[in-house]
Amino acid sequence: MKIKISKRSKRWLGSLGRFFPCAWVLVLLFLIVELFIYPGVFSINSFVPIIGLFLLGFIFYLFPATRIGKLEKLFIQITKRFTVVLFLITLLSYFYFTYAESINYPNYVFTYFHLHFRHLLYINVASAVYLVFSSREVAKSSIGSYKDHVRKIENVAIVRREFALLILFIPLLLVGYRNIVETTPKLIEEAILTYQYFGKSYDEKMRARWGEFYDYMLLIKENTPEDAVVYHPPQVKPWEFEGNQVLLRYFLYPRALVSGSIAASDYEGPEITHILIVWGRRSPGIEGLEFGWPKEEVEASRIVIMGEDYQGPHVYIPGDDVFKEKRGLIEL
Amino acid sequence: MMTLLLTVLLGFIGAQYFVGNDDKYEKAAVAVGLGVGFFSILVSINLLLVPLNIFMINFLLLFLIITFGLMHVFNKNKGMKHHKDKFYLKDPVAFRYLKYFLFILFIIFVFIILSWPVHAWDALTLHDFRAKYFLDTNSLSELGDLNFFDKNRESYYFSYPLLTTNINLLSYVAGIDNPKIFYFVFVISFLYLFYKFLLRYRVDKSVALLIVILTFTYPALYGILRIAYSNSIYIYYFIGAFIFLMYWIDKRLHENLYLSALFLAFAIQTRFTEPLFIAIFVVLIASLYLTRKDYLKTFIYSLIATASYVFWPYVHSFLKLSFPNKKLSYIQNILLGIERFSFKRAIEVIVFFTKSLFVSFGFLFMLLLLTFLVHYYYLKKKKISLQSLYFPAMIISIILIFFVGTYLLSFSFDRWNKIPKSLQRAALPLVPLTLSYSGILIFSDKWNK
Repeated sequence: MKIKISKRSKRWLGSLGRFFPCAWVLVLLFLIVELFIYPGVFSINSFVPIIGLFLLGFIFYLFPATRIGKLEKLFIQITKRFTVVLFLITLLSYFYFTYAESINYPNYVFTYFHLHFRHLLYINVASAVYLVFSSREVAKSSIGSYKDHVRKIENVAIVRREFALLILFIPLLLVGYRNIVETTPKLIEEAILTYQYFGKSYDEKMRARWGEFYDYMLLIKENTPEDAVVYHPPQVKPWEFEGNQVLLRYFLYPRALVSGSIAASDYEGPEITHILIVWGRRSPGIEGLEFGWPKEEVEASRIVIMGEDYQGPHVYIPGDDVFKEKRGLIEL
Repeated sequence: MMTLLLTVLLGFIGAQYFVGNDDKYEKAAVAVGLGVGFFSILVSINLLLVPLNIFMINFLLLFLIITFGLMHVFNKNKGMKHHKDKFYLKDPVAFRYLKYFLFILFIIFVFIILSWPVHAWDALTLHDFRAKYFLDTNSLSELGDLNFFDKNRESYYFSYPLLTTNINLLSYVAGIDNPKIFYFVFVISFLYLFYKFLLRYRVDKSVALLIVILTFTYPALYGILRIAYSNSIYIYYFIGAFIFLMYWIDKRLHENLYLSALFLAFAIQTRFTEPLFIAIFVVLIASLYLTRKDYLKTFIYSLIATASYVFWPYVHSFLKLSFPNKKLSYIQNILLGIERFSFKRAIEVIVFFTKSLFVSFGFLFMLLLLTFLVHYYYLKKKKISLQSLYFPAMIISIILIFFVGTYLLSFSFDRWNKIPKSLQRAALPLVPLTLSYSGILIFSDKWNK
């Protein structure tokens, strides 16, 4: 079955393609502005769907422009060159800012340069997509000539099949876009962190991943024998880490561990030799919780406090300022 | 080191029998899974009966090598031939650039994965700890007593089967300090098997490579692949089982069916909380219905998978562990869920599902829905064969399993709707399945009539 397309319609279809570079330039400009204000500002406040513009540009691309004037040719050349420069600048800047952020502190780039540097990747990928689709090789291999295209439109069967395929190609493109902009920052930031810790010892690497908690585990290991029986807080806020028996066991095995969730009156195991001193971790939504473990006064043969040379009395008093915000160990 | 060499050799001899001589890289990718899988089964049985004995494990590995060797001698597998691609986006330049891009990604990936020791939570506290514990004590039964003084964690060390743990164990037995090298090998092997599958389904090699890159760079999947979790091993075995099952449905080479059965059994030995093997059974039953042949082989397949599924709960009874058997409580949950059926709860589950799974999948879920629509359109117009139905059957079965599972779990676990990340991780096999489904529909003529 053939459908008739008037000459006017053919001319109209043929002119759609000239809007492809315009749509893309618009997308890039919106993305650049978002870089300095904040990502998503247009879609949240002005309902400008940048993704929609992205798709519109792609649909225009499917209808290659015919009879391009000199001014239009110049415009296309300028946009391509501009996009090449933008692609290189955003790529190099992204790497530089990622490195700068990793060696300073979180939000360092925004503080000094007032831009959301991770958004550079969106601009970079959008530039790359534009360059790929506007290249002659891709245009020739995948779309074909204008005449071929009109011939295809006149055959309804082909239109239906290609339309169905187009429906799938667009979300596939969006999946790829999302993958690159979400995974690449993780990959690069992780690679930079890995480079910083390359060649370092096991303890240094574990400290990088577990922070002060790892140092606390080393402290307990150094100050307890392997047959110690260690009493630790229950696994509730604010002691999610120090109360997690399986986590403690990884670092402290073969020491026996007894959870604070077992009441003293119910405990019938081997005699406890050590008790952890744990203040607790501050996190949102824990107002009103009682910090500090253990909750009772304990007489000790020795008390060790992390990061300090404790010379105080051999008694642990809950609520005493000496133990506030500290981690340590009571030897019974 | 002897154990590792024997494991590798067993894997290669087994792969030679199952896969044949078509592609040496595919053989290597299969060898990884076979060798480690058999090693794990031998260690698990050993630990069940007697203290861990590496000398005995080596002996049994040697026995299996000889067995597969003899099987190969008497039944030379010529393998499946690679079909000529139906080029859709014919562009060797694109293939070259994609290859370079993937190569750069892998270099960064291997740098990251091998530079860090095992450090992620469950990778450390469960799998790595169990491996070191077995090496230290040679015992499985005493593991159950470790959490005696923490009733909240009683069954923790028996919450997962042993395959992932045994990978770490193999690493330490071989004298390799960082087991993550094995996880990296599994990731590469999975991606290669997936790539080869797309090629055999007549997807252009540039497009196949692009789909592999999309799979590898999917944010949640990438996050899992770079840590020593059971999910990455599970995806290798589960998708591998599906791939070889599809080969069998296509070519009816029985080696493919048995390899699929073994991979499914090993997948269950990696994770068995989510019974996704039911989705594979759905595909198998659909194949039986359409072809009306190979009933005995299908029965043997189901037997192997079922035996693997009951093995881990059996361990609990065999060792007479003091804490309750969680698997039996699942059966009670199912009965409870049926007894207490509630529309209100079902709707709550649908809402939770939509927010935590479909919304998090984002464009991938949009791609899946549109693929269903296009597929339905083509089927209605009789443009493609019924063979294409296996993919949607598999995907829909997996989604239904998760939905029903979440619904049943909601009656026995109060925090069922507070763990969306667990659901997202467990549903990661849907990523390669969706991408390959869409990719084959768009870029291949394999299903065309």
